[in-house]
Amino acid sequence: MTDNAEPAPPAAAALIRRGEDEAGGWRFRLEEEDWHALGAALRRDPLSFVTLWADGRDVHALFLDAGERPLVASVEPYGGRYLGLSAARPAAAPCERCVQDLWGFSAMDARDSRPWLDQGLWTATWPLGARPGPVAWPPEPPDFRPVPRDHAVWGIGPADGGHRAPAHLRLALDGGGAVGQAEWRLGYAHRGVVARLTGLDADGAVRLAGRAVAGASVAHQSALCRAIEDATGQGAGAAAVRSRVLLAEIERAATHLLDLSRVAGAAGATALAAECDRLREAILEQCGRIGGHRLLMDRVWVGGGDEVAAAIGARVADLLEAGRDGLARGRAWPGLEARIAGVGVLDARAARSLGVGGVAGRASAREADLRRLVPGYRRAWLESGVRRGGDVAARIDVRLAELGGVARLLRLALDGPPDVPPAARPASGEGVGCAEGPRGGVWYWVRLVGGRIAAAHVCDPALAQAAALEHVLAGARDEDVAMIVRSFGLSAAGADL
Amino acid sequence: MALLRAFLARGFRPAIRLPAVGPMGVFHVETGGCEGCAMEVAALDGAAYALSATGVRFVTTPRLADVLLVTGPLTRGMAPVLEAAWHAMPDPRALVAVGACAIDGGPFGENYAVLGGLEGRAPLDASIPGCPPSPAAIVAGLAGLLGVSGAVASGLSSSA
Ligand code: SF4
Repeated sequence: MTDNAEPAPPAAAALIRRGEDEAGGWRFRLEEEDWHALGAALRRDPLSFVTLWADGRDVHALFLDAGERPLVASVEPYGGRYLGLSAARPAAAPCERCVQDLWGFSAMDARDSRPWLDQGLWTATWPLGARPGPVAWPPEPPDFRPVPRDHAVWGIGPADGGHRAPAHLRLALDGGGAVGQAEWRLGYAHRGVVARLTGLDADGAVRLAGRAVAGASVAHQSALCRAIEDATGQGAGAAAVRSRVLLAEIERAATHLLDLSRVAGAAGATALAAECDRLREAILEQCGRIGGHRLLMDRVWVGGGDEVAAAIGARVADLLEAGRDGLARGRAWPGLEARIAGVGVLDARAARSLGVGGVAGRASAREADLRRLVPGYRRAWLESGVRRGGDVAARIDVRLAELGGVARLLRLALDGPPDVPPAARPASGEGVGCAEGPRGGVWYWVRLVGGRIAAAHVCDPALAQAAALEHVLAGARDEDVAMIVRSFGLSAAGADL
Repeated sequence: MALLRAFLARGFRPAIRLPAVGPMGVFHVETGGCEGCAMEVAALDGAAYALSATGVRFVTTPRLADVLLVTGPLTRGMAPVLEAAWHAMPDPRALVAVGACAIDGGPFGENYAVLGGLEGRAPLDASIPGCPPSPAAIVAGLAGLLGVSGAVASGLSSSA
């Protein structure tokens, strides 16, 4: 370093804070040149990116400052264009494509600007934008990436009888059964959740959020409740905090068992799949009988959570403890390890850069567990549980370990007082909330006007998983594709919303 | 949605008489819901329910199906896919809507991306309400197509 070296440029978080504070110290408006400076700063600053979205006027990007404080940068697109962040944060790429499809704001410098959700079958282009456009008929053919030479194309879905949200996976296979390139065609399950949230009152919005992704209904409802509580300066009481923790853990167990059953089935481990099916059914039965809903929908509301969670939680902890040996026997099934070890590897760097958290992130050595930010969890309750392999085996083993973790957490939350949440922030009419769903972090941002949702954003982990799967599947064997996809627990319902 | 109506609706529809011998083949299409109904259908297809004993078998191609079982609201993207599945099925065939979304759109009625439910768009042979309906309710609804009494069906479905 020489003496006349330029002073170090401000860190990305400091750059954002230099903007105009619009929501009580966590969302800042940046002028266009400061947004460009942010884009440049993100190339060297590790500030962790969460999601990017638009409302009628602005584009917003949510980061986690120091890994725990939500920090939002907002910019008003100029002439419908803004500088995309995907060059510095590849995880922003699918978000930018969604913003383009829904709002018509295009990201300059984007890694990929092809449609993501819009297949040309909607009633308008840019349906949420200020000026929705006409649609071309017939729709343009899909703009797939060119297939490598000498590769044959193999398409899976959107309707293959597989009891899953619809999505199309297009694989380019070389002659020897290796996948040269994988690409999703999504949007089949897009229902316009954001458009539907707009205008609803808080209760209606929370009910709808419970139908965003069924395997993460509690997570979505809790995250939205926290966002609304943040916006209105209204905290949730200790009882609500506790029941939300219990419900979230029960949901985690049920969805982990579903995802385990699916991946075990694809791997040919029918005994493990059967153990998972039976244990999950026993849990859902308790949820339905005691809690009134097998999938725990509508057990969480603004300011509260259903206290029936304690009764279900105790039963579920018993069931999980009783089921542990059966699951271990299923995992030890001869031949399973050889089938799943080293297959479908997502390395730690790719997991970080593509924003993959949740089970898949933790299986790729990424400490990504939003429960440390969620009121009610004591830090000492959470064990790191990170694996390094990043393969199908690691994703299976993280889930199995977390099933044990759920039983332990349920007991702790039932026995001890929950972590008392800190005093709520003053009402600013805007809020963010999160939850660690069974498949990863769920985030909501809301702006309330007169008690109704004026603008909202929903972020489900499936979006990042879909992008990561394109990366992981390239190079896989064709017979492993179904197993790899299921090992992520991807739900197109969450990717499309 | 004239397109879908033209494909699915027919001038008259004889009472569905599905084959009395052999299991009833069911092709399940999730047309864009939250996956809740699909998960309950999946539960039926798993080890917790002895489904084969009920005479119902899930198939992975519509060509082997007697029943097209739909979950989720019909999105505009899935309408052509559903049509194609229906076309591929041999006669006699039945159309079954499972859950609020598939019946009338439920929380996901018509908008820029969604057409809504099947009710009023296509003649339904059975509707199984709920958000989502339980696996037992789904088996009972399917058994109705075979003329099996509800009591028998629920007896069969409680094998969890
Ligand atoms: S009926 Fe309810 S559970 Fe079923 S897909 Fe629709 S919202 Fe989900």
